[in-house]
Amino acid sequence: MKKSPTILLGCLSMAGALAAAGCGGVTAASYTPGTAVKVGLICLHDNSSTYDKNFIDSMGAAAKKLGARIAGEPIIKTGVPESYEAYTAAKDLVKQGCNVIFADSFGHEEFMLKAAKEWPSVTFCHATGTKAKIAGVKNYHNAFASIYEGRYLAGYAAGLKLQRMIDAGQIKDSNKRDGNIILGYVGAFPYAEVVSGYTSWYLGVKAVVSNVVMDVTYTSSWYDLNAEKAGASTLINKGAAIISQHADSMGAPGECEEKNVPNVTYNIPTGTECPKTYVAYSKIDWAPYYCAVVNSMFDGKAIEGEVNNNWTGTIGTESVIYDSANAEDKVTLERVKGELIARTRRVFDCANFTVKGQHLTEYKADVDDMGDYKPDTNVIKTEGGITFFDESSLRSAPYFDVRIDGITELNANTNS
Amino acid sequence: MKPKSKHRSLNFPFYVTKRLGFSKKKYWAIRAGGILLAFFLAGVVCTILKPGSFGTFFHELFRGCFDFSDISTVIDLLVTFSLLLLIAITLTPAFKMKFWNIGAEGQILVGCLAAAGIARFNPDLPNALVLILALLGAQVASTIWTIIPAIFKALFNTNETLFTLMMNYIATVLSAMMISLWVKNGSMAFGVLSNGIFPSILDNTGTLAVILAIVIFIGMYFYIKMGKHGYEVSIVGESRDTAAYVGINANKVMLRTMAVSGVLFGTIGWLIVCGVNQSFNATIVGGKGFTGVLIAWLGHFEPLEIALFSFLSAVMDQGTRTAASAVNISSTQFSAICTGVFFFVIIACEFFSRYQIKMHHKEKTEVESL
Repeated sequence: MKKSPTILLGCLSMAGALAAAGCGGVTAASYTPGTAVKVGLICLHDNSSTYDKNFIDSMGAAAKKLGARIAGEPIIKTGVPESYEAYTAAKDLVKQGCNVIFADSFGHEEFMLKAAKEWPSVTFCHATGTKAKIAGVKNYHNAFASIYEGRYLAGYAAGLKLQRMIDAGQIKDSNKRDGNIILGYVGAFPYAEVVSGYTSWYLGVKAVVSNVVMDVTYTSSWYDLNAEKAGASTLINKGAAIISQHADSMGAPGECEEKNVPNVTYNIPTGTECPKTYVAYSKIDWAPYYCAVVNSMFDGKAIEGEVNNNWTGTIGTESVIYDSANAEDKVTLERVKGELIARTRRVFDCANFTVKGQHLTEYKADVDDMGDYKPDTNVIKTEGGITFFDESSLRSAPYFDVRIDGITELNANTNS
Repeated sequence: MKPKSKHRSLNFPFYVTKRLGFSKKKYWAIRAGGILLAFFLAGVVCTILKPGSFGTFFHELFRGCFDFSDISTVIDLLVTFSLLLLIAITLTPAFKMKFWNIGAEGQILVGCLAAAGIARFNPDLPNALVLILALLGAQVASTIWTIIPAIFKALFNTNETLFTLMMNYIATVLSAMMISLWVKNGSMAFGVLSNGIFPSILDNTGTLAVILAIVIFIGMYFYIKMGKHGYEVSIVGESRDTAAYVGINANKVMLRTMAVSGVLFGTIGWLIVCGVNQSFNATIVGGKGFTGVLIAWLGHFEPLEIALFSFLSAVMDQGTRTAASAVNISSTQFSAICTGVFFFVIIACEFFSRYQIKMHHKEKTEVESL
C-alpha cells in the first residue's frame, strides 16, 4: 500500500496531461438555408409524463410533415433536469450537428440562453420561457400558445356537463358552499402559467353555470403521480363536483375515475383510461411551431409570426386543441370557439370576474422578466367594447397571475 | 441453534458458508470479469430496447466519456468521478467506526442550499469573497446536519442509520421550501447564479472543482491511513471496549469524525453549486450521496478501490446517457437500469467471492438411510 500515494499522484498528473492535450470547446455547425435542418429536442421527463409526451408526439408529427426538410430523425434527449445538465445536453446536441434545438421545460431557460450565447450559429427555441423578449440574443427564442383559450373551452364543456348534472339532480348539498357549486383544480406551482390556466378553466365553467366557486391545491412538482392523486382526493373530500388539473401525470384523472367524479384533462384525452369520468381535454399542439421554425430557417427568413423573439400559437394557428366526450356539446363549443377567434368573446373579460369585489381597470404584470419579480406593464386593454386582461400578446408565456374572487388556494403557503 | 433447525424445516437443498483461502488474484480476476459482464449486459439491455444497436452502444458509450476532441466531455466525466470519489472517501472514516451514515445525500444538499443562498443574495460583493463566504456557510450547514445524528447517538444511543436516512428527506423538503421562498414568481426555477462562481479553466468551471476534489481526496487518504485520528477511528470500529481500555473516548471520536465529515460534505456542496452547476434545486445532488455509500462499501473503505469504482460508475452513468440519446431510447430510466445492473453484478461477485453455496449432500444420505 505504500506505493498508493505515488500511483495517485501519477493518476493526477495523467489527468492534467489529458486536460492539457484537449483542444478547446465544441464548434457548432453553420446552417445554409435550403439544406435539410438537423433538429434536437430536450425534454424534462420522458413519454410517461403527459406533458413531455405531447412535445415528443408533436415533434414526430412535425417531422412527418416537414419530410426532407429535416435531416434524419430529430434527436430527442429525455430526462434532462432543470440544471446544468440542460446546458450539457444542449452542448451534446450542438456537437451532433443540430441547427435548431428546442427545450420543453421552464427551468431549462437559463441554460438554453447560456448555450445560445455560446453558439450563435445554432437556433435555440425554448417553450414556456420568459427571457427572449429582453435578453437581446438574436438566436434565442421563446414560444407558447394561448392555451388559456383551450382551457376556457374545456371549462365550457365542463359547464355543460355540470348543467346536465344539476338537471339530473346529481349535485348534492355536500357539493355546495354557500349555495355555490364547488369545482376542484390540481395545480403544480403557484405560478402565472398555472394561475392563468385554472382561472381560464374556471371562467369557462362559470360562463355556463354562474354559481360556482373553486378550490385549488398545489403539488409543488410538474410531475408527481402520488401528490396529484392525493390532491384530487383532497378536493373530492371537500366536495368538488368536477375536477381539472395542470400537472402532468395520470394521478388526478385516475383518482377521479375511482371516485366517479367528472374530470377535464390537459395534454391527453383519457376517454379509454377513464371511460366513466372523462369530460373534455385541451392541449397545445407544438407541431405548427416546429414547422414554422424549420420552414423559416429552410427559406432563410426570420421565424414567421414572431414578435420580439416570441411566438404565440393560437386556436387560429391550430396550436390550441380541445375535444369533448359529448358529441352534442361540440356544436356549442365550436360556436364559442368562433367567438373567441372573432374576438367578440374574451376569456379574461373584466366584466366576468372581480378581484376583492372590484372589476379590474388597470393591472400591472411582470411581463419583462428582469429577474426582479416586479410588475412593469399595464395589461388591461379595451377593444371592440370589451375591457379585458390581454394575456400572452406582449410575450408568449402567460403572465396572468391575478387571484380572482371565487377561487381559493388551499395550500399556497408562499409569497402570494 | 434455533435458526439452523428453522432452515432445515424449510428444506433448503443448500447452505451458505464463508470461503476460506481465496487468493487475491482470483478475487480480482472475478471482479474484473464482473465489470466486463456488467458493461456487456448494459449493451444487451440496449439491444433489447433497440435491436441492432449493440455496436453503436459501445461506440457511443466511449464517445460520451472519452471524446478528446471535445475536452468538456472528459471534464464532465471527471466531475462525476471526482465527486463520487470525494463523497465515498468522506463516508469512509464513519463507516470504519461502524457508524452507518447513509445521509450523505442530505448532508451535501444542505451545504448546497447554504452556498446557493449566500451566492444568490450577495450579487454585488467581489466574486472571491462570495466564494469564501459560501464555502464557510456550506461547511457550517453541513456540519450541523451531520453532527445532529451523532449527538443523538452519543446521548441517547439512537439508531444512526434511520436517523441519517430520515434527515435526507428533511433536507430535500427544506431545500424546496427555501426555493419557494426565494423564487417569488412561484415557478420554483432557481435560475443561474450571477456571483460566487468558480473561475473557468479550459473553458469549464467544473475543472477547478475536479482539481480541488482530488486534492482533498489525497488529504483524506493521509488522514485515514497515517493520522492519529484514522488510527483511533479504526480502534473504535473494531471494539468500543478496546477503545475504552486504551483510553480512547469513543463518543468523542465519533463526534469529531462526524464533524470532519460534515465540513467535507459542506465543501462538496460548495463544489457542486459554485463549481459545477452555478445553480440550485432540491435534487441537485442527484443520488450521488447514496451511490457514494455503495462505492465506499464495495471499495472496502480502501481509497484506491474507491477510486476505481467511482470511475467505473461515472463512465457507466455518463456513457449510457449519451448512448441512449444516440440510439433514440427515449426512456429516462435506461441509464438508471444500466447503473443498477452494474452494481448488482459487482455485489454478486462480492457475495460469491466471500461466501460459497454448498449442497446438503451428507444430510440427504442420512435422511435416506433413515
